Amino acid sequence: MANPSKSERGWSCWSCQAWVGQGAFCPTCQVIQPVAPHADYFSLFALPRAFALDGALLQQPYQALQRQFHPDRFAQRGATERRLSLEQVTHLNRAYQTLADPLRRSEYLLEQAGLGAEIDEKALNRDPTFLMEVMEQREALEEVDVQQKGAMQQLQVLRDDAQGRIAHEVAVLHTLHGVQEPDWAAIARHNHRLRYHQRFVQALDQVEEQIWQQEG
Amino acid sequence: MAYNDKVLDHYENPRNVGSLDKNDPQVGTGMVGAPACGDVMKLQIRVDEQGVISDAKFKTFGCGSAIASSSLVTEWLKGKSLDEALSIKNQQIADELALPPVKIHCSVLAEDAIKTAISDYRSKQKGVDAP
Repeated sequence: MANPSKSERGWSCWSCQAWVGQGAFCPTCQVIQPVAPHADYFSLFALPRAFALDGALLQQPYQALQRQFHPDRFAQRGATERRLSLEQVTHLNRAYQTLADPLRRSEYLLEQAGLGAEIDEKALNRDPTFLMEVMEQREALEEVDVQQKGAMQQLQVLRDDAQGRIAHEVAVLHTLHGVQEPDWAAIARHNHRLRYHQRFVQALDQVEEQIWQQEG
Repeated sequence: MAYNDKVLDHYENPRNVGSLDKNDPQVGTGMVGAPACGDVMKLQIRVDEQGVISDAKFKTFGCGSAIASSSLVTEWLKGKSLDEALSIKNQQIADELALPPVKIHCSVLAEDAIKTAISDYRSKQKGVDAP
């Protein structure tokens, strides 16, 4: 089986040996290539590396690339091409899921700045005011009685409140990322806050699910 | 992932769930969170005149291991002096509950909650003693 060789600048086609550069397909024989090492998620979609991102600008290239790499198109090809199409499509999906979600996008930028792991290791959070708010939200959710008629409306109030908090954190992240030399420690802090709110919404979804099951 | 029996027991029958009055000068409150997983833990102790922990309550929103860790430490804390309480290490919690490596941070969280609660109590006492 062919063993594609990779380097930082690019590589030669594993199939016809012509120079590929870093493209996903060989310009000479059009055969699919391996995922570029250290491939940047933003450049995959031809987007600037930035937190601010227009969802539509992500969606269009994502769908186009998905068509290009779709394993169905390689079903009649050899084993290497089938494997590479799967690699490409996996990488593409991971890149899309990372960039489409503000928290994951912010974490990715933090990680790319070489600071993600370093800051995350200080795994404890002692901002008592913030934690108290989280605790109050959680308690309010806990007090919702799923047997009661008004439970759905109560959940909606909590959801609106949480969505407001999420929107606020995303706006703060926009500001923090949008400067020449971002304050990465502050970004890490707000990533954490955003994660707390997202987890709360997940917990809320679970309670809502219980109500649907009762009704169903 | 399968939980250990002791974790399950504390998860299904958590001990000492609830709250103490956080404005009571005899009560210390420790509020800690694990940002990596979004868990939040509140641990409260009531300290009697002899400096012994007479009551402990917790409220934790998080995974089974975080709930079990905080439930377990409320049992351990009762009857202990503050210095004894401060000597509780996360490794003891992790060993008792047989936490897997990925859940060690839950025991770290519980140890940190104890320390935060005690330091909250002590700073309140300074305020009380002050003329």
